[in-house]
Amino acid sequence: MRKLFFVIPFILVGCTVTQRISYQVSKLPVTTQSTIIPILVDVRILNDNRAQEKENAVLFTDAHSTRINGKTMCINSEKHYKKDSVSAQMTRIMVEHFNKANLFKKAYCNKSSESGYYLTGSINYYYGEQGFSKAAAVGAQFGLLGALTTSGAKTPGKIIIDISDIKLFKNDGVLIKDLGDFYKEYKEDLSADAYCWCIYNNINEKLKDYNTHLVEKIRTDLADVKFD
Amino acid sequence: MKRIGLLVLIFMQLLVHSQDLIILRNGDILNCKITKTDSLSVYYTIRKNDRKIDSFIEKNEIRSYQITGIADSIPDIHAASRNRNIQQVVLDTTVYVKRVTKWINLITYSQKYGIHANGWEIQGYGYFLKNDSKWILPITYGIEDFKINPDYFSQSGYQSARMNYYMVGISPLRKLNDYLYVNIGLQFLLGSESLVDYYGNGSTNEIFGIAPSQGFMFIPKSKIGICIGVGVQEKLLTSAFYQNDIGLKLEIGLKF
Repeated sequence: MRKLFFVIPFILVGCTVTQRISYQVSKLPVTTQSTIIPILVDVRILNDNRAQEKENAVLFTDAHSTRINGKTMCINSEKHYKKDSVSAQMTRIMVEHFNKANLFKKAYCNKSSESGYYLTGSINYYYGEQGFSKAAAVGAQFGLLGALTTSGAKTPGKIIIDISDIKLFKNDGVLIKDLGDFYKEYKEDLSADAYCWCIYNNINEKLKDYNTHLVEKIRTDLADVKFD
Repeated sequence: MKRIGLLVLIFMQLLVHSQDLIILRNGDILNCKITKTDSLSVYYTIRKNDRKIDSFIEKNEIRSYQITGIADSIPDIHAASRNRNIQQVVLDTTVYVKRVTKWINLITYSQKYGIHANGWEIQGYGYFLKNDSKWILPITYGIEDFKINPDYFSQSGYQSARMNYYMVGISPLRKLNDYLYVNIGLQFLLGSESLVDYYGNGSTNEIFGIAPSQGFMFIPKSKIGICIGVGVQEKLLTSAFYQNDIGLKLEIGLKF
């Protein structure tokens, strides 16, 4: 029974109405064997280019539960994110992840005075969609027990995270390395709930995976760069 | 002329093979440039809508990948064949599928409707759920109570009877999908019965028997949830007044 009391708040936290881009950085495995890139880096707030991609339009116009190609879908609609912009939130969590993974000596978020280098990039996609779960919706009609019974429901989903023009500059504006574009499309069954809130939690989890691999990509790409 | 034609053919073949290949478990093929592999992922570069993008894929999604290395210059036919270096990697993807074992508890209440007796049962199940196994062998424990139908009991020639027994056996579950299980059980009964006939004579007999059961159980994937079962249960006993039975078992319970 004790487990029940632990699980209920967890479910509620995952599905609150005001959403934010975040995940538990403290639970990421500590990297000790990888080489730390010996520089202080200021990660500039990423440019938000999402409006230029046609597929993203629905995120800005529709609610989190909408119809796409005749099907009811759950999307990470912009309307429910906290007032802080998506790009600022993505940058902040990226910096936290870099520091936890010991990628650089230290990464800062938009604080140019602290560092000798800065990193820039542009978000093209932070897009999540998944099918609406009828099973979860029916379960929710039967109160807590119904919700618990269907809490394992999953629906097919698609999440795309794409950051382009990732570049590392020295503070005087000299380009040190063009790290290119980093893109990932996830297509799999995702946890679903009755009210379409879990897509926000699902895309946060995928961002964690994306950032984990982004760390490895940057580490590899900068391995042959000699810093002062 | 022939020699030039042969060189062109070989050069074209090298161009065709200049891309690396990733063959996914779902049959899709990625023509790409593999930039890095580590214990869990393969990183690659691919062209998408005139953009050169870097991406990655988990090894558990990959059936095999092929890395092609080609020398920068091709001085002659023999050198070309030496410098062309194709590395084919076929993955044992089972290595990358994480084995998960969880301990699961079920407490269920069953209502039983037999031809000769009706009753109830409270039962507990405990088992390890393994993601790579279709079969589950739970430890079960419980109590049951039943009342024999008066019409059936009146044929026995006894005034009253009382039965106590222990049951031991197996009740394996076979996974059909993430939620539905087939339950095939076989319990052995061992105990005694106390009988009083119409002349007031009491007697005690040892009894033994078997109780097979077959049914379906819905068990949710969630950590906590409601499970539901329906099945048929049979009994064959050496009892003097209750030798056999068959009936419906409706079960509802909690998974935690």
